[in-house]
Amino acid sequence: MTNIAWRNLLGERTRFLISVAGVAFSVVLVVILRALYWGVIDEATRYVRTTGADLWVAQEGTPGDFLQSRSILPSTDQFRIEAVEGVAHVAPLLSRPVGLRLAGREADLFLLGVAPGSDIGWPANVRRSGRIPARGTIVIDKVFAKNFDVKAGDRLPIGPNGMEVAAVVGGGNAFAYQFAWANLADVATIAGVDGFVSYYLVDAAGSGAAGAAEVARRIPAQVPGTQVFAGTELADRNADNLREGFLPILWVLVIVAFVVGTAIIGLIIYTATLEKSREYGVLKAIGFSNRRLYSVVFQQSLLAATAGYLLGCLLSVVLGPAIERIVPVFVTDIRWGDIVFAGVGALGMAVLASFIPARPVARLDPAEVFRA
Amino acid sequence: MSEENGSGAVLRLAEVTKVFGSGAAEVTAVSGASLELKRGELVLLMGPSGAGKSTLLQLCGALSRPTSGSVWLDGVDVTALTESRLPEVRLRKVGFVFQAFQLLANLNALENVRLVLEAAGHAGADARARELLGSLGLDHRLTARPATLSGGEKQRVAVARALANDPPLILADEPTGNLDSKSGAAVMDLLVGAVRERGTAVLVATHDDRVRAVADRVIRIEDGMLS
Repeated sequence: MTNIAWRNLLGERTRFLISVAGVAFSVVLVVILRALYWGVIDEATRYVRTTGADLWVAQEGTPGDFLQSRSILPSTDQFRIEAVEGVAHVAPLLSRPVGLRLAGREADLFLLGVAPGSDIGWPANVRRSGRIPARGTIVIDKVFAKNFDVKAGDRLPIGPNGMEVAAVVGGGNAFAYQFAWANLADVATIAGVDGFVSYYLVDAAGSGAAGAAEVARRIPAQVPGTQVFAGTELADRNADNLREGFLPILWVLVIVAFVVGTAIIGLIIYTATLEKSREYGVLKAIGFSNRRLYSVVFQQSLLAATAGYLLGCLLSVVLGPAIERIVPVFVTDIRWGDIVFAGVGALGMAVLASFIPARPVARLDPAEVFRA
Repeated sequence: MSEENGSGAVLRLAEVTKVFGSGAAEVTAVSGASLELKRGELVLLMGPSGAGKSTLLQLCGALSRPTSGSVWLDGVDVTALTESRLPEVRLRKVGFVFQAFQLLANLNALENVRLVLEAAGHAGADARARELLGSLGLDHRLTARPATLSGGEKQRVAVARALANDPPLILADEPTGNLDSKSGAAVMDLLVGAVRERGTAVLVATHDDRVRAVADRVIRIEDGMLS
């Protein structure tokens, strides 16, 4: 089958490559932005999702966004919570953002103090390894470690005596800052609080989902001044808040990418069609209908969009990990749904781009070929 | 709907007039033209530049609609057809040969011919295109692009494209105009061959007196009027 569209594209290689590059740029923008969006949300909420706690007990009135909320509870509440029916284990958690200078740069950490004997509250890989950091030591996130070139054994200028890095782990990158974990007593000293914690993490083991909900109802009733969140609720609220801030910007950029891609491919196909108007006139004269000519124009758009889409996907797969290596805080998570979404976008670009030259093609007078 | 004219003519024009513009700018390009071409007939349309030859060819090939009168192509009144049905009529009933060849630059010789066969849904389009080009002495130039063909070769490819769907009528506009005498004679031989072997009717608009010898009939046009 003679494919005029393909031959026309190959006959104008520079133009074809520009339109492919335009679509590829749009696809990369869409896929990478979406990958960053998923990566950031997943990373920022991973610690909260993986503490191992069934319930989080916070001060009454706490909004429920772990990254933004401040909760203060008396240490004595621990015993009252432990007394609630269905509670298997309670672990206090003290959070304190700290700022420090490392190699002449400002660094922010979200310090979390966890009771050493607790099997919940530590990051998942610390729990799995069973190597709970000793007093005076700290576990940091790998993104922080990479950003400031810190490794296990280094000392960080935190607190009156500084803290030694016991381990570097993943799962503590909250995008704006990174989590670090230390002994509860050390964090209490650094924060200058005595007799207070931020949250209690509750293991309602054996209660089941329905049982945990019942325990969540019992705690505020028996421990006044508290509020209980389900294990994933805090993470979900964090994710919601990130979405609210992130999504409008993301959509604007996705629309810009779509418009840029459509404009590039549309203008290129339009100018290519105008330059080939004599040939389209010949085709019309020898018996090609407008519909068949639109099909040639659409095929050109579709071929350019498909090539651009495939190139864009390939570049995205290469660029995602490269971005993570260059800027560790940007974690990318490329999902099949976004690859399909970009594909639908590329198809939309092809359809819209082929509309632009449709009018000049329709208005071509086949009798013109006799005047050439 | 189209109607059969019953005359047996491949092409019949009845009192066809074509007017361009209106009011003071009105120009009558063709006035009251009537003619008939039968199968196996080669007719020359001769006249000075601006006499209306190209306009008449456009009307004959259903590329343009007459202001008044009727055009019948192979028994079909094309003036009664809607615009959307005319391409199909042109594809199946008319072959065009142009002075400037009008081959598609990005397609090779074989593809230029195969294209119209595929458009008509012809089974074995590739074999048919190869056979046609071979019969016109172009079997060694099948994959050549138009830019690499000589003028004579280009016009032979154009003739092959015109013959591809075996149309009852071929309209040729100055087919020898851009060719040297030898190539021009070869192209006219091809058209004569189509007339004699296939029974195709051929209408050739030309200034070239050298081709007069191969014509069955010569029609003159001057100021849009046939004589």
